[in-house]
Amino acid sequence: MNTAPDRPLTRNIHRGAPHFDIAAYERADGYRAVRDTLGKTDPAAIVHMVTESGLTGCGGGGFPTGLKWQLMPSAAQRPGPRYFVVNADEMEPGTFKDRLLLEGDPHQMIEGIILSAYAVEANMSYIFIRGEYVTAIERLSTAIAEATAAGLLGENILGSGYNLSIQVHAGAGRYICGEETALLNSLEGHRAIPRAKPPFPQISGLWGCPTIVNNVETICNIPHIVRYGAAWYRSLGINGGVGTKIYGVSGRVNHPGAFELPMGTTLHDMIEHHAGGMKTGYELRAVLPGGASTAFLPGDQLDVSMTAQAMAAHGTRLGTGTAIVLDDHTCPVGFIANLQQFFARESCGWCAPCRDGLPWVERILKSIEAGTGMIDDLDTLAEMTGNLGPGRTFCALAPGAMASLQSGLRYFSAEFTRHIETRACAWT
Amino acid sequence: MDLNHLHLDVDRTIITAQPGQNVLEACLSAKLDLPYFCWHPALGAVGACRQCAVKLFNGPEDHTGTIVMACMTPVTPGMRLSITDPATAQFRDRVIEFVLTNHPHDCPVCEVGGECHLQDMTALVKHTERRYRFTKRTHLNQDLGPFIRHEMNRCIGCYRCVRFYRDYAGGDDFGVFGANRNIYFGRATPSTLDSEFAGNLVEVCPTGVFVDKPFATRFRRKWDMRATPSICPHCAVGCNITVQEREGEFRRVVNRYNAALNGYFLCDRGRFGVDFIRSPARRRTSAQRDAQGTETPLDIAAATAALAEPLQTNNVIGIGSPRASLEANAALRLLVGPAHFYAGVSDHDADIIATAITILRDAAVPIATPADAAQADAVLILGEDPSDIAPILALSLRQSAQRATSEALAIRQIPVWNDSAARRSAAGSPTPLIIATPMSTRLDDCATACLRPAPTALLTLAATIKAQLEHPSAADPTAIAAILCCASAPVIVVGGDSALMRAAANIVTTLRRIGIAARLSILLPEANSLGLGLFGAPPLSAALAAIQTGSAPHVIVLENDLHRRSETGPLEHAFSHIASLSVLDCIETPTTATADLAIAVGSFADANGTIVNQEGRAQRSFKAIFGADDPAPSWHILRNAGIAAGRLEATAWAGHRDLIEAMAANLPDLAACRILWPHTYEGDMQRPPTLPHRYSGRTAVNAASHVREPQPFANPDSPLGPTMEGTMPRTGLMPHVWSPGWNSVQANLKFPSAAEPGVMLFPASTRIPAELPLPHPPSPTPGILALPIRRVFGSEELSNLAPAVASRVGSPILRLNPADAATRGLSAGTMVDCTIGTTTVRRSIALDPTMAAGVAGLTIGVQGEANPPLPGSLTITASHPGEPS
Amino acid sequence: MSIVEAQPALDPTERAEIRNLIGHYPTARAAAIDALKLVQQRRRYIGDNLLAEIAHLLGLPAAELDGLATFYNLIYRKPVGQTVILLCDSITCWITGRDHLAQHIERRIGIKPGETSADGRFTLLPIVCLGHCDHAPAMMANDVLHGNVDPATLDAMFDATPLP
Repeated sequence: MNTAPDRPLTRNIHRGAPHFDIAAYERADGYRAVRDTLGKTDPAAIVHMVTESGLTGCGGGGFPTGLKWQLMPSAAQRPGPRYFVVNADEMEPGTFKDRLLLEGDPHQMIEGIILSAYAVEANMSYIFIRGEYVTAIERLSTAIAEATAAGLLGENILGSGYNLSIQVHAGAGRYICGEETALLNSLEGHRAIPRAKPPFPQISGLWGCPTIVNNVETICNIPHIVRYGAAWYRSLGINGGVGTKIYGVSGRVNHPGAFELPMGTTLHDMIEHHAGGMKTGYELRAVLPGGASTAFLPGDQLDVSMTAQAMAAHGTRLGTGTAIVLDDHTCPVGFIANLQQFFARESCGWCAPCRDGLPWVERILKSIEAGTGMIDDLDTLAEMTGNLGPGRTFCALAPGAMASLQSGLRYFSAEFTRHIETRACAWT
Repeated sequence: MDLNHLHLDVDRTIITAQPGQNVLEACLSAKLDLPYFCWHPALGAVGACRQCAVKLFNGPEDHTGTIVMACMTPVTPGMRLSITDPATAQFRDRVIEFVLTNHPHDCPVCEVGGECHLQDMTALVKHTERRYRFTKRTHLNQDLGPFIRHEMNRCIGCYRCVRFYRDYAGGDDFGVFGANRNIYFGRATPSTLDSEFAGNLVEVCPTGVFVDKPFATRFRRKWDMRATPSICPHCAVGCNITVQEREGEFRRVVNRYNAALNGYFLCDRGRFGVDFIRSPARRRTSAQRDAQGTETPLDIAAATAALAEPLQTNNVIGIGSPRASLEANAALRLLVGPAHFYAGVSDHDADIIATAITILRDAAVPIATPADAAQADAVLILGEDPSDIAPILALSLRQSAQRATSEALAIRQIPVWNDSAARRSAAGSPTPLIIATPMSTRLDDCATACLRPAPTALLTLAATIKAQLEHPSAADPTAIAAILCCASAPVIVVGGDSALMRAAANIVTTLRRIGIAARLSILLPEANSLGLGLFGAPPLSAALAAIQTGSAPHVIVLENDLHRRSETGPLEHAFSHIASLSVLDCIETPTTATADLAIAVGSFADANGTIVNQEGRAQRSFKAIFGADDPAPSWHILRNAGIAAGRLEATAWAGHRDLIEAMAANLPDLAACRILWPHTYEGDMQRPPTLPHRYSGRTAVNAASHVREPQPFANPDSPLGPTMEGTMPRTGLMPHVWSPGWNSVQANLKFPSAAEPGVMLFPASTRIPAELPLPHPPSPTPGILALPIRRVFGSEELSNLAPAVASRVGSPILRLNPADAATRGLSAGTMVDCTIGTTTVRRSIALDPTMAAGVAGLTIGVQGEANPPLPGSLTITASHPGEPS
Repeated sequence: MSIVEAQPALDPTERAEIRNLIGHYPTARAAAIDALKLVQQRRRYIGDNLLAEIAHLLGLPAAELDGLATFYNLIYRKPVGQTVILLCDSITCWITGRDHLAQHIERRIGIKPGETSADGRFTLLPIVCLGHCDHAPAMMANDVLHGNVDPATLDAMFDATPLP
């Protein structure tokens, strides 16, 4: 198994087959990167390699992973505890890629954590996983026990002198826990309120100590980058993308699911070829390409490669890479109202515009959907998209909520007007 | 500082800022109007409300700019900003609109209408139109006790309440619940708020969620109340307050900003205790009592004449009071003569006060203000818990202990105002707070170390610390000396014992000698303890001795309940030998009840008066209540009686200033009181007006009897004017903190330097203070040594009479180490009779596992009870329920 | 205000388990969520008296712990039924008909979101995306994830659940 895989993240995940235990994982060349690296490679060299690979965060933000790690002061500069935290709080509506990785190949993530924590000189790692992911929690806990028994975790790992413990922390449910600083507050046993940045977690993270927070999928890439090199990783992408990505699609397509594809695969390609196209009798009207916090792409713009740059050029974001399809049997106003209901309810309540603005947006949309909207509401909504936008609110939750609203008002303006003028929803 | 300041361009106007400020602070300091909710000058910035948005331009070529929150943006040299930028202004308007979606718009029936920060900010952003047409979220309110009424529907979610109550004041029974727009600020279960700083929620809340409950029962609009600067009479910190009245009736107390003392906050004893002046126990009329105990009411002329009678003899002694003003005490002393004037305090208190004077005046040990304490980089508390004796000092000490060290902030590059981040940094590296007291304190939760030595061991500890400072090789088992040595501005707090005070002063002196700018804070029992001490009069026991050796003197007692100062036996024994007892007081006490002549006098709010706090800071308060039949101040009645008795010339002390001059001539220590607000005594038409400029109903108030414009009240001794006319000063003498558009207490920010520090009678000196000799160690007390416990609510005589405060008074306790209790077969809650000397009081047992063995704490100051002579040897006997102790 | 009866106090096992959880973190407070979930697993919900007990074990004021308990979606401060149905109401499940499922639940056992059936068997709560969008509509019932939920799935569950 020394040939580099072209679908590294899911190479051990086979539909219908049991997930790999540590023996199977090691037979499949697993933990090779850990054995080759710990105590043999300088942590800074791994940071350099990850930087060179062009890996970006897969949780929705898309921040370059190597750069994030570089902003962590070295252990020599900042003695004391340092933490590596895994963000497994997958709760973005329409997103189900991390579950696949967590349940499908837990050891891959453990290996990624060992290498990442080693790179940033952290000796403690917490996996913050949403409490609803019962199966994943169970499999991770078993995998950690197996890895510990095999000497891959704990004191003096493989005689390298490096120590690492991993603890699984199951959350109690709040979308905002996926925001990395809110996650840290939650992990400390506080309300999951985001923190002001600066200071960034690298400088003042968990309990005020230097901390890195990375998404599951991001971390799962690390063993492969370390094993096969940055150049190999970069070569996996197409259309200007780097590496592979777990894309996904849900809604009324024939085969909703998650697919590991070269980064840069087009949305059209994914929906038509991997998800089997639309179900019979349904037309695709638009897509939220990367979860609930991304802007609509109308159906005639699907030939766009799913990279951060290409998506930005089309006025939306790659987000989590898991697309939600709006079909012609679904009311766009109701669709957006559902999204806003989610964001209003999941607002943490800390900053005023998000806490009090989103419920207002939700109520206006529900009112329009129910046929009691007023024409001025459209101006109010349009204005909200600015005043709940980036930089206005404390964190990115409300700006994420506004992405679908702002683009929806543009692409579905006729539907909005029709609801208000006919005082009814044509889809009910 | 000026060399370091930097310039910001705000809408093409250059303003000056201090490095380390945030943009909001800089703009407000420059008197620019920028709305905000979650920021508070004492609480720092958290960026939650998004109200202080400004446009920040990145260099001269940037014409687009970025909206940033001023409170979370550090000032940088040459930074270019806009407040007036239309998009930013629209955003600020919309933020108000967002928070108002759930606000009930009940301003006409809301207690803070007219002084509401939310109203001010709404007007400031010119928000007028309501577009939200859906239902509001509603909440149930909680019963939060006698001080605070809860109106959660008014909440705009700024989080200031929880940040003050929990993060700043250390309260643990208040929090934020729920999420999204369904957030709730209150207690886990409805009940009285525990914290003695809860009353500050009234001023911290930007709108009307937390309402001053006693005030609500006699509510008037802020603009309809006369406001007068005053000094809190309820402890020796001397917090600055504003007393508000209308129609001759006291309405409420609000904070008066003083940077050195109370800053933006008061304790609840201060805020709600002043209600004693309306209590049923207030003495309103004078009376003569005959041998049978029958009272005959007297008008003030008759009362004055009756008081002149003993003064006509050559056999009169006067007993002063630590709760009466310098003026009242001085008048009595001048009338009866220094040889016949006694201090009216217990021997123990007299010893403490005299020692404080030695330390402050003679040794010139530098004294820490509460503000110094908040900034201290190490604190050592010796002997007593400041939480109950000097609450605002304790609040300041808590700020020191909860603050991250400058190193912890520096390595994370966190500005001090970034509140959440700074608090997180404090968790790993707290500022040292070492508490060495015989009993647990209410600062233990934020202390880095707590030691519980018995009083004798405490003296040894203090001596050891000093020895270690002098000889760093000496043993330092507690490492306290090492911690103090590492600090640059440590503060030592001491109280309760004169030898310990001397030892603490010597620690400060030693630290000063090795170049560390240490300061001392001395806890004193009452508002004017130090002022009374400066008269140098002997204690009450000396008066009682003089009575017994003399020939049946006439006794004049000034504003003092002697039963709180002496054991009953000696007091009654001595008083059985006197010719007559005349008592001047504003309240009914056991002492007035036995007086032959009881004269009703004005309270601190009815008269101008000066008191000296525990730092030696003389501060003046002014007549604040203007009713139809105001009792005259004690000194004025004494003066008139003195004239009638021929002891004074008819022209003596025609005004307040003359009395101050007479006092200063006799007592050089008090001479500095002459300069307190001297320039405004001249009857100047431009005196600061005590009535707000929107004061309404001047004729309507009395329309039932007449419709004339009432004659302004004369108050010639005050620098303050009685009407709406005058010039508002920019000092702490400001009766109303108001600025155009800023009607709430937040208007304080428009006057960042507005503080009237009073006058320090013993100014700081740069020389190394003198070292004080220590007395011989006391001989050990047989059995259990009882020490006094003073409580915020229940131990101070005047505030006990305020109904709301009285309802917060817990049952008095005897606090014991569990082992000491067990050997006596006592458990928590057992009622016991405690005998000290000849006094027996009944107490309920409370256990304190941290307490030194062989020591007990006994609640003192209990209403209607003679104070036992503490500290003293304690005998505990089982009490029998139902039987009076 | 509470009309709910107090729950039995924590037993020694629960107390020991909470102490053990505290040992997993540098601060006791970090174990708060774990402790609440642990107790809820056995007691279904966290009543006031249990909250106070857990807070005491954690060294936290009750108000602080309640601030956490009421913040998070999966901590129940009021009694819930034997089976808690968490029916996803996020976007993909909404598209694929979760509202019809909610109506079906109301028709079958008479409860709306936030309500508990009179027989105490079921509580229906909305939940955010369960990450099972490829099998929408999705729901969780007592920690068991169900995908492609249809009225038949619900009926089977209703019929199989005995009275408490």
